[in-house]
Amino acid sequence: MWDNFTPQMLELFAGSLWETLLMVGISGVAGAAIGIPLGVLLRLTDQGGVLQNAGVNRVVGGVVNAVRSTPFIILLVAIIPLTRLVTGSSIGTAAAVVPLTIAAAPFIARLVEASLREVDHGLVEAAQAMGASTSQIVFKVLLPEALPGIVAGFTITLVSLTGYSAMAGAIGGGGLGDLGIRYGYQRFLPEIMLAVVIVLVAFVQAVQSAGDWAVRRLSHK
Amino acid sequence: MIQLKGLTQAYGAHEALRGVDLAVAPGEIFGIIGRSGAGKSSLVRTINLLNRPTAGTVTVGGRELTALPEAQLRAARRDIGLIFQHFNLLSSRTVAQNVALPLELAGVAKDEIKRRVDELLDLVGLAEMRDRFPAQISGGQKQRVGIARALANRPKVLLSDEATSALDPETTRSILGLLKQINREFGLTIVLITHQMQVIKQVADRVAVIDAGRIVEQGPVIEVFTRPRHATTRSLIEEIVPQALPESVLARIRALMTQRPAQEAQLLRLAFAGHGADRPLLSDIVRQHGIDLSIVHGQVDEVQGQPFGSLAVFARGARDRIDAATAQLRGAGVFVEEVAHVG
Repeated sequence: MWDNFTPQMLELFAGSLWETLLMVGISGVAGAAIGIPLGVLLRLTDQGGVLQNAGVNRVVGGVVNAVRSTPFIILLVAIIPLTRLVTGSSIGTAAAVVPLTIAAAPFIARLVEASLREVDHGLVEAAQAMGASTSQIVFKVLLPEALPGIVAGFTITLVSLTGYSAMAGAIGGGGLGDLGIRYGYQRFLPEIMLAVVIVLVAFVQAVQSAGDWAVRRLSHK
Repeated sequence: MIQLKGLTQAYGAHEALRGVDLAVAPGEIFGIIGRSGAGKSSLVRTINLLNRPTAGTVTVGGRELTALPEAQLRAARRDIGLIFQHFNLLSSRTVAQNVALPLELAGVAKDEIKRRVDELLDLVGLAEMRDRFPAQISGGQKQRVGIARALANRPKVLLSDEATSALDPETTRSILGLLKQINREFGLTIVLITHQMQVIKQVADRVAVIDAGRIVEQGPVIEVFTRPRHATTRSLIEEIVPQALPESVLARIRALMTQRPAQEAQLLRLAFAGHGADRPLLSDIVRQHGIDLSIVHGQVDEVQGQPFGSLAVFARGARDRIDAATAQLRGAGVFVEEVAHVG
């Protein structure tokens, strides 16, 4: 069974792993860059928030829910015009990063919102009593206090993105999942499929362990 | 230092405050006591306008806060320190970083922050704990951090919202001692919100009793303690000075009263305060009026170095003699109340 692991195949493996890392890494970071502010906005405008505003909260929450409820494989093709606008192409690894980012952002937004909700309102009140402005409350109190929760949420997001990235093959995004489908399934090479799964399991384990370690380091509760 | 006029706070149909008027003098420790739900928390949050009152004005240090726009109000809040029941320290910051927070928010320069934090940690006796996180220190130490943090911007007023309610009695005493020390050393005006009469007794100069959103009674602590007028005040004072006689004592009195029904007998409650309490009043009246007195129940305590107490005495003798003795006691500043009599 080792016959199938030719040098070319191993090279393909390395390339696919790299593509997966690129897709997950870039869309994770870009998703956080969009999702964290959205999460903060959702929390601030929510009932009992510092900038309580039911209208804004409902609109932003609605958009977030809409994107989250769209199946990823549909999102992937539905936003092709946007993808082309951003990356200049609708196929390839770079093109896959756009829908992955769009999928990650609302997911992160909800996780950030939940983490911020965990911050005791007494801390916000204490900051207000010290004369803190809204931005000071966000940057000096809410985000630092919620950081362990946000990092835990970000870890979950990276794991989910790894799963989503397998579908990127549909638009030629490459990556390990795509390798598994093309070689393991379509060419009927179950050992390749197995190898892909093993690598992905190891990858997810590594991400989760790193995330857990970071949360432990950051949390002083 | 603090003037509250006609403060009303309504949440829909529920009125948490109904026309509260209060004046707190500079440099005093003013206690506000009430049961849970009496409006204490609403009141403290109205003083720094974390809650905007529905009606009425708040003036602190000569500035009417209720008239200030939001940005100026934020700056004005730095003149009002606040400490909390559950401390509200940031778990992500060390002790020193927590104390530094209000200074960072006020835009104080880094080296100045460091200097001030050292000074404050020395003041509250936590210099060695500076790099610990809140999760690693005790409740009393957390409250000390809270106090240091509240003092960071050199406020004119310190508000304490049930600051000792989550602490054991010994820690409570030490925290109250620290507050008293700060009050004396810096002349800081302190408003203590509490449901514990013990707290008022230990440190407050004056006290206001709040019930159902209204101030029902206020005055110097010793006066309110010895002559409580409102039912809520009485029941709160009950915790320290029993206002009603225990049933066992009453049973004994009834037995005594039936023993010698021929003789006039009265059960009196005497409340006294201040230095008059040092004079041998009871032996004086026994000698002068030839009546019998037995102390059946009582408690003597001290408020701010002044003795005060409440005694239940069983007086026997001729009616006019007892009346004369009562009059003499009243003349000497003792509050006398007849609980029961026979004959």
